Amino acid sequence: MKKTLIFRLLLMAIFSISLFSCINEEFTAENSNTSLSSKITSRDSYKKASPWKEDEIFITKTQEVFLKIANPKYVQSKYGELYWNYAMSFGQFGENYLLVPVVRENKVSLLMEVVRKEDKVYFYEKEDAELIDFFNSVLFSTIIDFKESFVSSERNTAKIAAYVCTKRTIIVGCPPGVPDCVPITKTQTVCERKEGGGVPPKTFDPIGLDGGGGGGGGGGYDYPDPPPTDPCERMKALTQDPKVQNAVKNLKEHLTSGAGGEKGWKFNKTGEPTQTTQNANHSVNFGDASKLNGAYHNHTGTGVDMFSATDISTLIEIARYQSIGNAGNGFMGFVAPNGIHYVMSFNGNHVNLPTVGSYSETDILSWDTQQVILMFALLKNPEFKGPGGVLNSKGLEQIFFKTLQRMGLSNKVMLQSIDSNNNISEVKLNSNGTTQPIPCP
Amino acid sequence: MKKILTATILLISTITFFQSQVIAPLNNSEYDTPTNSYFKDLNNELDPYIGTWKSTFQGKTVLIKITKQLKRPYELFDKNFYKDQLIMRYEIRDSANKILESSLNNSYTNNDIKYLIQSLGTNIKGNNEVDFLFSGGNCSVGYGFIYITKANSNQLKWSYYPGTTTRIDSICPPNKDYTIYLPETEGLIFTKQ
Repeated sequence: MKKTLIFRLLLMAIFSISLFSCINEEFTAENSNTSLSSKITSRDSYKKASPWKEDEIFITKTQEVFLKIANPKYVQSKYGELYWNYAMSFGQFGENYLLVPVVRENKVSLLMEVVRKEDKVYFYEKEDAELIDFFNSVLFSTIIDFKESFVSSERNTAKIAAYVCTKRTIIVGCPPGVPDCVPITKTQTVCERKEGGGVPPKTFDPIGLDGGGGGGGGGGYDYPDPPPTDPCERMKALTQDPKVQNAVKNLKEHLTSGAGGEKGWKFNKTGEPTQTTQNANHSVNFGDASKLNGAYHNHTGTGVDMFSATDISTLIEIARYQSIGNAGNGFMGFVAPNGIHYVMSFNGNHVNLPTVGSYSETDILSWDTQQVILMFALLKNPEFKGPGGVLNSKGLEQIFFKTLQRMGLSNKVMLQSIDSNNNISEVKLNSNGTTQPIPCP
Repeated sequence: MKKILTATILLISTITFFQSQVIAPLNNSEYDTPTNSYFKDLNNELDPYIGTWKSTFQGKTVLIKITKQLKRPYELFDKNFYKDQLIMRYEIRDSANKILESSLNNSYTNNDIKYLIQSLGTNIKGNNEVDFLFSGGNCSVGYGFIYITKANSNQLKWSYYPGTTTRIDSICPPNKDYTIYLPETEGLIFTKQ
């Protein structure tokens, strides 16, 4: 009797243990699968999990480069798992910069910083404790709110060209099982990466070059199809961008609609292009230049159908807030009656930009006035008079280059004209003061 | 002998001085005219517009005071010129007689030409008009052409065409007034006061 009871108890114990193990294995496997499918994408295609807008083109292309050259076992062993879905460009676009969280033992232990210079990408270790903590919260906490804003800062009191930083904020809610906690706010600011000075960053080695090997490494890795730097190529890309095409089409339709007045379009760094206030005192307000990559508006034909000194000052500010090395990506364009369509961009680097506050309101007003005086004078000469007695392109372009000269910006701003078939020409100033359109190839 | 020599030198200097300054009609082109030229109102085309004129527009009272200034210097095509010009100052009051905008006390002797209305010439549109340029208010808002013609000996007609401006917050703060107060219309009658 006693032996039978013990045997039955043993059988029950064995059965219970087996049952418990199965349940636990199933639970563990299910948990693992959930965490893997949503977060780990070392080898999977990138699917954005960051709540903010990111430079997804750069993340996708960088991941491709990385996966092509990396030794996955080496990376896993030395660093951990790269969570590409949570890569962040932190408000920087133009395929230039991002941070990829590296996870070990279910927490972010390191960031991989990726920087593009022309047609190469470079990988660096970033061991910023606060930034790592921020990424940990984004990846593994319950986020109940998030925000982003741009801040600019000047390097020193001499007001050397400002650079742009992006501030991201998250509000972390209560973890499961703790319903009455106080939400925590976390903020991190990442600025444009500065070149030169300080301790060189440590290279993130995806291959295992510690033991030797050639190619890449400190020299960077080939980056496919970098964004164009040639002005013609850059402008072609712009005119082929559906967002720009739609805005230009909208402005041209406005010109022929008979409604009169001015409209403007802002090409925002984040989100879709937005319209400015319409028909308000003949003044198109573009707002905060730090949030813009470009701007477009129309003229009505009653004044000077060319970029004013005010427009040029606006372009300088838009260029100032482009990422380092990409001041030329900022643009301003306008359309006017009689098929007039011009775009301008800065033709230099950030160090070539006039310092903040270089132009007073008095200066700008004076230059704008002088444009009209020059137009009035040119109209007396048949060489500059077009159909309908308005100033022709030769005259308009003279006004533009004279204004640049007055603003100390000769050879620093590029002017391109675009015809009705979207053919682009760079307008050059000859040494004798005349202008000449050079068609793009 | 000494007197003859002095007189000769004086004569040559006088001839040289007057030869170096070309007197040209008011509307001649600066493009083809040598530096130091003086665009003079030889036919007194500008004189009939001198005076104080008044109108009302959209419930506002508009007062303009036009004066003539001789030989005002300016630069164009990297050359220095002089021109006889009309200068227009104005004051706009609302229906409660509150001043909305006024340039009546502006001297325009320094570089600040905000609210300046200056004549550039006559008849560029072919309507026997005087062609004025308004420099605009804050951030050049409203800058553009004003064309004035004589309706009769006691009245003139005003047509104003503001051009397009753009602005951003860092250069043109949002808290400034960007209203165009000048009457944006065609053929507005002003009566001499």
